[in-house]
Amino acid sequence: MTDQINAQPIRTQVATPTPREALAGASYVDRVVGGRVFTMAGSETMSTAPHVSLEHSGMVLSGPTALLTAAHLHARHPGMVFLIEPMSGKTMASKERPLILEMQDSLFPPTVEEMLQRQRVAGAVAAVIPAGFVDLGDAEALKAVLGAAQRVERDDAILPIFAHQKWMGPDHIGQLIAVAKRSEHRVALALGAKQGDPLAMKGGVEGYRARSLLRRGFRSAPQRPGGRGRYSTLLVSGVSQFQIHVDAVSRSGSSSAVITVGVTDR
Amino acid sequence: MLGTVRVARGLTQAELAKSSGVSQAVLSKAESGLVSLDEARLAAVADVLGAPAGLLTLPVDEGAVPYVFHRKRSTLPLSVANRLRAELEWLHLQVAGVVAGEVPVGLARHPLPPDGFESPEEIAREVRASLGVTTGPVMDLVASLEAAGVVVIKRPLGSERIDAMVSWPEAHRPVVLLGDHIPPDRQRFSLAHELAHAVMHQVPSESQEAEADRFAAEFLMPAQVVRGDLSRGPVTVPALAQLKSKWRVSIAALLRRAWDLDVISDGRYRQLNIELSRAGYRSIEPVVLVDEVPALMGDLVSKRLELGESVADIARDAFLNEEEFADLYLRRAAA
Repeated sequence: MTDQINAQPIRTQVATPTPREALAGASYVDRVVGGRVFTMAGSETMSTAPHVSLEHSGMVLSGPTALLTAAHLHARHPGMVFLIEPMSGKTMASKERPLILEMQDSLFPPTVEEMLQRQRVAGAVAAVIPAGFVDLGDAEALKAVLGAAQRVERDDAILPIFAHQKWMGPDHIGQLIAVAKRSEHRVALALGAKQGDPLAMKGGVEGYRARSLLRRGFRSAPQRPGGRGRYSTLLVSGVSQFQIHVDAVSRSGSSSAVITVGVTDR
Repeated sequence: MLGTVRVARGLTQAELAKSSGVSQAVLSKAESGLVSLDEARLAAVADVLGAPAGLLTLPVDEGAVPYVFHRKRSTLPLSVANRLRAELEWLHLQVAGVVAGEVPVGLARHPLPPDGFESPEEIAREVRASLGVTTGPVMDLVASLEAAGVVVIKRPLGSERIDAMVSWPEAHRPVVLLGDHIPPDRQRFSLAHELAHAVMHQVPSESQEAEADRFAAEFLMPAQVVRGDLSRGPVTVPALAQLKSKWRVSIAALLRRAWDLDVISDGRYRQLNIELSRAGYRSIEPVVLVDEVPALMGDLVSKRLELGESVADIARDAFLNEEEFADLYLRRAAA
């Protein structure tokens, strides 16, 4: 199975981090992450980096040492496009606490702005909002995540929706799309499950493939005055043991996962 | 209402014509409103139908045509579905005549937005709050609905292929017609399912049944609380049977809830379903719940009688013959 759209990467001219600035047409986030396949390699980030295409790919750094790794990566591979995944997805979001504002070595809880700025200072091309994990059917938490993200007034921010795998099922995907459509920021989906392997769940693999359904949903969204689609999808693997690539989902046996970026609705 | 009453009585035009002596052609025109029956013919038809003559000449309220919901709707004979629809339409007149504004409707419509931004679960939580059910199980669903002005009528439906039906026409109150053949646990879920239709659905859709089930599950077993109960220990049939007493829903409904909330895996869900089938619990479940009995209509009739009105007066208001009214709202209510 091949997703023809994703199989032909968008040849963006922006292969290196770009200062935040008003760009004509595509949004800043589209320009820097659009069409790239991001690799998440965990503790093998530095050894994997030389094999990552600077033009068509990128990396996602995660874990408590991500900021430190970012400094090394930025120094050794200055052209590398990367994002820093916040640890927030490991904590349950709630209506009262949609964002998880915690930072290592910080005496007081940081502000959202501080957390985002620290990612950018570390060299990330965009800032990933520290949203909590949205449990299955917890619409109030999902909307609270959206509400909190809407208050982030920067155009380099990505809203990750760390959500239970079953949000991609027929009962819930409509609401997930409706919420994502309202986002002022580009949306990244990170799917996970509270128990076991999300891909082993009934409909798990189909759930990942359901991003095509997401794209259809996004395509029906209102268009910006420039005629460009307002929304895009960024599919992020919620697990580290499986390889996600285009429309095929296969066990890789390695600790790496591939993040497929689909900015296609133009 | 001639055609509606005829269908509610389960008669065809030909059968009514034969019994009443009024030609089928005339009946057909009368039902369409093209001609009016003279006094003698009207009396003959009313006599066969066992209905007040005044009811038969009432215009049909087009807005009161109800939806019929059933889990195996396709297996329900059309004639039965039509009869029950007509019965429900007539029931609205009976309810309006008896209740007469005594109990205000404390329930609000909340249609699902077409873009899916709101979920049935969210609406279920709102409705729970509006009915004063703050947390935990709904102890007496029928009583909660009646307190909100929803009329629940429980009687034989003439078919076991349908559990319940509901309609909430504009300018009327919601009326639920509930079959008396279903066990209490199933009755509660059916009632919550019909409540969902009343609140969320004004226009039929392909997903309406699944949406109503999701509403009913959240309404009776709110995720925030039931998840803790289901996660407290291993999910087994005996554990679910214990929870059945608390949550007052079927073991099957609790099992499905555990799977929907990701408390148990797909494999465990399949395994427990097989266990339920092997034990025969698909037909008859252990742990019998207390039946919930509607009381609103009976109470209102009693109140009016205490205030000095006669059975004949109230029956006339309800567009029923006195004997049938007494049977439906006095004898059955007392039983």
